[in-house]
Amino acid sequence: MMKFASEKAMALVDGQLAPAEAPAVIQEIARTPALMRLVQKYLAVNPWKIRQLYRDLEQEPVPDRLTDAVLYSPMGEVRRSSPGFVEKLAALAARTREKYTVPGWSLAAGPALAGALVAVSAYTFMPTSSVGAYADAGVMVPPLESTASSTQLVVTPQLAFRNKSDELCRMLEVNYGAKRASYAVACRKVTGNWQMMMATKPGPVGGPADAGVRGPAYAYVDATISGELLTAEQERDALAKTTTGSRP
Amino acid sequence: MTDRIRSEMVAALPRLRRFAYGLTGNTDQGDDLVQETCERALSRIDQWKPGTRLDSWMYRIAQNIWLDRIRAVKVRGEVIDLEVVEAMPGTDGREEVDLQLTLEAVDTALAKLPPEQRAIVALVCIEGVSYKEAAQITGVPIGTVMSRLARARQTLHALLEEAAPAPQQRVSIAKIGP
Repeated sequence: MMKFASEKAMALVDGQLAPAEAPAVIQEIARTPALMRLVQKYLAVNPWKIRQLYRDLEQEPVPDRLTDAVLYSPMGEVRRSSPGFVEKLAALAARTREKYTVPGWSLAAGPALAGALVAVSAYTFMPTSSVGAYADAGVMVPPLESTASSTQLVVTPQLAFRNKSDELCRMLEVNYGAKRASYAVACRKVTGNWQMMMATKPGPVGGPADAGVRGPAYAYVDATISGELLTAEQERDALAKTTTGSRP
Repeated sequence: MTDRIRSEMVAALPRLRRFAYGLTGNTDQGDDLVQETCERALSRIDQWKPGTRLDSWMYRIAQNIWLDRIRAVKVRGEVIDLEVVEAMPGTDGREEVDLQLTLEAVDTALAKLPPEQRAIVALVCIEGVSYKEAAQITGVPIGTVMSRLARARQTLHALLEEAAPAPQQRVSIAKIGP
């Protein structure tokens, strides 16, 4: 118990104790003479005093041999990490500036987009029959049965990657007007058919809550991705290679 | 990417040297440790995760090299019995707080700490990292960092107090002085 209190008291002295814990620790110090003596020792040998002694060392010129060691020593290969949220956003920003003009893209990705629309439409109570067409990237496509709903959907491919089964997968954004969107991930199976893997509930986009809406889709990408996100060129190549069920 | 990593390492050198000095207590040995740290870090850069702090990773490498070296030559600092330290009678608080610290005295006292405690003191007290960061760098739980630091500080206090001239001696010197 004393050991625990001693460490808390030290954390208090060092300014590293959670504020909520401070009152109780101060009371304990006040009523425990042995703890008070320890606090005095911690104060006598506190980090600020010691740091002052060593402060000048940082100002000393660094010997050339050390700088040379950093600049010229052989370097191993830098690790390729799985993309983080910021990297994904950066990749997304780059991707959205690109145009999807590859012939056959719609044919290849169509089932996935249609699947995405079907999946997300369930959340908005739109009759699935109204989603009879799919949208090419960035192209607004009104539902075929416009009488069922006046909602217009815009589907935009966001990210492409290969999952751990080496299947080509795409994360799609489905916009309902300017302020609401849903996100979905579809993967192309070995048969050549696209399968919806997940879809998020529609939510607000463009504001602080945007990340929250995208979050589950990003989490799915994180959990299933193998390697790096595909560039638009890599994605086009992958789509062009197999548009039927013959993909190995 | 590789240029950026090397630039970050160069920028970290002054602090890394100070940390290494805190560990070794000697400029030449400290610089040797820094050089070996840099070479190892570069050759094993694949083990560093981009997006995490490069300097913290290098602190960890430096600490591991130094601990390995210490263990290899079986050089151990004198371990002060914690119970003896805690049993020491308390003195006036002002005297405690006013304990004069000099670089030489602290260096000498640090050299007597067990290596694991010394590494924590170098990180927290010399480099100014938080307990949490120190735990990440050394790879031990934060509770272990706190207990090692607490023991180290108590030991340091005892050693520094022992090394300092007693108040009575100081008074007598003043009396016989001109």
